[in-house]
Amino acid sequence: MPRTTDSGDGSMTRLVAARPAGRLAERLFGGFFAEVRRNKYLFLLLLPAIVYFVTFHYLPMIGVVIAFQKYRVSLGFFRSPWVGLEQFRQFWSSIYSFPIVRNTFLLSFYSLLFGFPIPIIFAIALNEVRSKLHKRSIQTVSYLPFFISNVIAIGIVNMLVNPQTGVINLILEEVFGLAKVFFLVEPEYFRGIYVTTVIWKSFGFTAVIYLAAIAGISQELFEAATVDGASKLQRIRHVTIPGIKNTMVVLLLIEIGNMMNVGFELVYLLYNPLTYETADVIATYVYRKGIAASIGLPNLSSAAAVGLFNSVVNTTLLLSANAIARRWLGYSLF
Amino acid sequence: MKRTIASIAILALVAGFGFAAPTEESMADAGPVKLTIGYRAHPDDTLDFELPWYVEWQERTNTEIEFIVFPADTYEEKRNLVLASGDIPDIVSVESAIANTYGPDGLFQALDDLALEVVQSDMLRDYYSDPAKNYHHRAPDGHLYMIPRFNELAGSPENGIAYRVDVMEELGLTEPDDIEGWYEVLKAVKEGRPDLLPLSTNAAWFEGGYLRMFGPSYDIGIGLYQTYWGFLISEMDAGQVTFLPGTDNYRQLMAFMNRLHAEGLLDQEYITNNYNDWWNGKVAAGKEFMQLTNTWRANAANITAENAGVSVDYDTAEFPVNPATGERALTRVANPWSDFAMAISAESDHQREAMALLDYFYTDEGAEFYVYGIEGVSYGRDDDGNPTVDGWDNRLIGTKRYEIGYPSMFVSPIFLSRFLQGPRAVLMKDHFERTLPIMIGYPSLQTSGPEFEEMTNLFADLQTYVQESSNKFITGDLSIDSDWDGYVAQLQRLGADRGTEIVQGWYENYQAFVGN
Repeated sequence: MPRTTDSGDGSMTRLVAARPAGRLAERLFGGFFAEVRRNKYLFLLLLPAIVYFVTFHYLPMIGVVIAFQKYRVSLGFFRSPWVGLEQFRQFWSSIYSFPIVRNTFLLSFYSLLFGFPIPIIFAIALNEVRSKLHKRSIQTVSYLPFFISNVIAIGIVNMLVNPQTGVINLILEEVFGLAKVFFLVEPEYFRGIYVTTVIWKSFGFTAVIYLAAIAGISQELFEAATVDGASKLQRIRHVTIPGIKNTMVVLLLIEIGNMMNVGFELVYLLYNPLTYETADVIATYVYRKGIAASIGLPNLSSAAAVGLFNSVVNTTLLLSANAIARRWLGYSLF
Repeated sequence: MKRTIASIAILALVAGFGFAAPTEESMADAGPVKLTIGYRAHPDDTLDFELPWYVEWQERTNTEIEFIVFPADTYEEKRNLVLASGDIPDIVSVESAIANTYGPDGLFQALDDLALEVVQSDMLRDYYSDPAKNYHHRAPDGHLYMIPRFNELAGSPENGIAYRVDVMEELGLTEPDDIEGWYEVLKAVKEGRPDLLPLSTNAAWFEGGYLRMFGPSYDIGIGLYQTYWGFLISEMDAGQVTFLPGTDNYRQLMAFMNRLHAEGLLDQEYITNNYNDWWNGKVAAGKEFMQLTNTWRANAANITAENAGVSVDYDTAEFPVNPATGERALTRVANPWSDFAMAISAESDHQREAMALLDYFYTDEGAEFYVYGIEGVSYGRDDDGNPTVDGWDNRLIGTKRYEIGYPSMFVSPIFLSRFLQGPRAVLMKDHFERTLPIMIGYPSLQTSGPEFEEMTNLFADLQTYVQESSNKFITGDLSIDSDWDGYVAQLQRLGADRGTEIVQGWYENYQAFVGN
């Protein structure tokens, strides 16, 4: 229906057509729906992933409300008393808050520092192996640990560092004449053991992603560099690394976004009260206090509050790293 | 007229078929009642619910049970998640803290009235009707929400020292009387049999093990440690509550454990041994002399080693004499109506049947079934009609009932003194009869209430700190001489004093209840 509007100077009026609500929706989402119509089969393929994320990652976010309550399972969301920031205050007043945040950050940082370049170096080196048999054998062996469960992986670590029968202690004792070391009860060794285990478990699989990225680089670039007299190292530096730069950035950003998510299982299976000072992380503290309280009541609100804090830190890190990558490298996740 | 006849016919039908109280016969006719049980498993349990014990139990009680297992090592986590899900089994393993907090909120059924209507056993009827017996289990709203496990072992000498007789004989050693005597034995074993670990355990049992075996020599009782978060009513007459890990007694115990560790008498891997590696790799392989455990394990160790083709002969010793009192120390002084329990869901459609199912274990027939299994399969009878079991020796534990599926951690009266056999059983009976009045009379505090959640929060950090520090005192990473005062000061900063104040209040409530 047409309606009259003031032109602004008061001298004249003009008629404009009122914009129907449907038209607005079409303007806003029309492009999207057209896109869906055009690529309906691709969107159908995407559907399971969307359902997964909505069901398991977005809907459960409603539960974050318990971080601000004194939540009891018997009272539920609606009847549990609201306590505001009390759970956060309690966490930060604990003598363990700083050590566990520090341990969480350091374990992640060291894993990233040492774990990030290794699969890149490994993938580039493996790419240079000419024998397909050797290349595939090495690749298979290297990514196999990724599929081993954490329990078995820690069992292997235990065997390796066992003070009586472990290979490492046998080497220390027999080859170097050193005393046996009880690696798993000495806090100063925990970070090294953890980071090594994480790298051992993941580097082969991550390298597969880089190998795929390298395979995507045009062979003509390598040939041109060879014709120009570039050595193998120069080809790596000027062709391979720039070719996988974007993949590196994406993986780095994802790693940074998970910075505070230290693998709970690995730490839980490796640590003990003697190594708490370097091993106890947010996830294990939350587990002991919030979910598996052996005496008294489970404090799920406290667990949720610490988890929420963790997520806020992760999000901040991810956004910062993304902004830095966009500004300095011209490439980012979003 | 037609209307009147029709009304009478309908009333007759309703009275006859609709609202008749269910009898045993009608229930049996209706077929088995389906119940779900969230069950706290023990590491020894077979978890094979097709085995004869479970089949027999369901037949006897006319039930069809679906078990939801909470494995021993992740019990709290799995149980808490099931409770949080809102999909509560008809019957679920709980402790009094859980029952008395979630019960009044409507998660569990108050059992006072239901129990008195349904239970057939004298034991449970007595428990539910006598306020002195159930004081410590009453929720803040005055109701009872749990069916507790009756645990005579709470005061028995069954918790003693488990060691290898064969090694003692080989080295010409005799069982000593006190803790220093055991220290000398461990040294002699280290010297005479360097291939053995003089004292070993697995990480999960370490803390309970040293408190249970050596604590009594320093006037420390594990029962109290577990029940009241380590708050010890050390002077009952004066009514003083203290926090056990900050006491001089605990310091002495730490010094003793440190001595064992420093001299290589304690397995240096004690804190990283997981149960299976320790049990199969050390105990069953005959690589240790003494273990921080209990006498049940002694016999189980013999059986496991024998199955592995290794010859060991574990036996048990009495508690060492307490040097302060000159008497054999008594540990686990706790009310036999324990805090381990079952609760019935408030949403269950079969609350009466659930109650009756559990009550069965407290009847004479049910208790015998629980302790011995199935007559003719896992046990027989002597001429006097008493149950007999081959191969149980005198240690009260056998393999046969495990072979038929015996569950270790179910709510039940365990080891009723009237069922015990053998020389040790005689000792236990005697001990039990002497100590039962003490145990019943011992302060069983009502720990639920508004201060309970505060205590839970306090304890989370206190427990972590005590565990961390105790292990460091034992390994020598903290010095008992120079670091003890700082440790005690930190306990106070973490709220040990506030905790003591709360427990003191609970203790005074108890005193008021008993009229002191």
